[in-house]
Amino acid sequence: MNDTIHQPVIYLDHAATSFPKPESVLQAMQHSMREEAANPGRGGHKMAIAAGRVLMRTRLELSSLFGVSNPSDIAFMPNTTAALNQGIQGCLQPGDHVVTTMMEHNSVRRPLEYMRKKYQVDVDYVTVDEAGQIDLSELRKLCSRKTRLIVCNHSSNLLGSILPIQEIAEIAQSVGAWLLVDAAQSAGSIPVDVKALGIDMLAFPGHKGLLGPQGTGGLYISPSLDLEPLIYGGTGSQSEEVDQPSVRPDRYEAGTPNTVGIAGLGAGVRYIKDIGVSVIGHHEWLLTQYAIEQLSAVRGLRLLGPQLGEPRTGIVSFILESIDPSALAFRLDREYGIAVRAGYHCTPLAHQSANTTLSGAVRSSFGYDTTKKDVEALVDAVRHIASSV
Amino acid sequence: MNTFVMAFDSSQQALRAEMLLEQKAIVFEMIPTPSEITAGCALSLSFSAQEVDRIIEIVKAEHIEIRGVFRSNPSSASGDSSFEQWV
Repeated sequence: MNDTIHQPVIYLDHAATSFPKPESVLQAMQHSMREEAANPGRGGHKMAIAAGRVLMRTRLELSSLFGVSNPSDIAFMPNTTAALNQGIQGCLQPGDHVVTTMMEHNSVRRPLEYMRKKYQVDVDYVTVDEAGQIDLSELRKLCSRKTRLIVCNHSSNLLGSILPIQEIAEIAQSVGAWLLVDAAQSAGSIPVDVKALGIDMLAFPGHKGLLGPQGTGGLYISPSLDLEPLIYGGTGSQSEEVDQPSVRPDRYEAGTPNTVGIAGLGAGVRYIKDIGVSVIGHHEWLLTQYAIEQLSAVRGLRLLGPQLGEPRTGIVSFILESIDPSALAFRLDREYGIAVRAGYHCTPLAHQSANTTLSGAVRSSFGYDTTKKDVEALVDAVRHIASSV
Repeated sequence: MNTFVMAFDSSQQALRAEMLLEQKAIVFEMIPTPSEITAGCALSLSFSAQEVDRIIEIVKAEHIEIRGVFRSNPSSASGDSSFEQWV
């Protein structure tokens, strides 16, 4: 069977992973694979050192992107989920209390619920309104002296809403809790400065807004936070010691890293820095505004998330009352060549907040490569399908 | 002559130091850490006595963690160079 896609695809699934990647990302990966993909940190030969430099250069790019002063405080992870697990499981002790929100991805909810069952960690969920915002006073009320961690997304992967991280960080600080931010939907689309925002841990993907390949991501860990590693093993350092090294980033990077992917990630970060994160975010926002204006005129269509004119990332989710979201997404793909995502988007609680628990929703999500013409094609197709059922 | 060795526990930190020293046009060499210092697979920088203070200052300012700075002593009894910890 030939799996090659011949039909041109209008790719509107950037919230899942960005596509296509910049040419420079492909070139960096090919260069790494062909010329210098030895095992970094293992052995002192020239190619191993060259591979190590690839990691360090990408770490430096990420540091300047996120306002991190010491690149060793960023650990590479295979994805945001791994980074969130490291952050959550690494900082909690039995009996600790955590506050999170009702619109977190399963990559936050599931590790928290695991910690609740296994270690009697107490977890509270702040309610979320239909626009994807939380009441900060409710968050404050839920916090106590036992609260060790507040964990929340920067932007919802269903609604595109943006949380006030700085205000949440102030609450965390006032109760002596750490703040872990899931930047899966914001990294590369909203400027993130960990110091200015007061973020203690930042989990980010490499393959979404940073335009790197899948299998890349990372976790920023504040130097004042000594996380217990999640993965133990070889680091190429302090090999004579039984215990995991205390030195960063080795402490959190056991096992051979994804050198080729990280080479691509470095090129992706350079690409978005050349354009400017704010410029990318504004482009995506303009597309969402156009989509909302046009889609809101479609009869029987309900839009989720922030109102027109409000800040949001490049995500527009909706339901058509006359057709099941998965059937709508299927028709958009097969009949119109438009790639969107239907279902729960790994965030059942957010669907509860948006009153879409029974149906799920269709999510369209835009990237820097998305054009107004692409969004027009989506709107035309949705309008056409709506009038035909 | 490069008589000093700065050893790192993390090769990533060694490479960070390398970049900073290159930016400042300091002369040094990257070498595998002599097994007398540690038998692990870490990296070290070797440099001359006149650069010691400047390099230590740079590494401290950038919060780079080092295992230590060692001075080689070529006149040891065995004939091989041996190392004494300097910092």
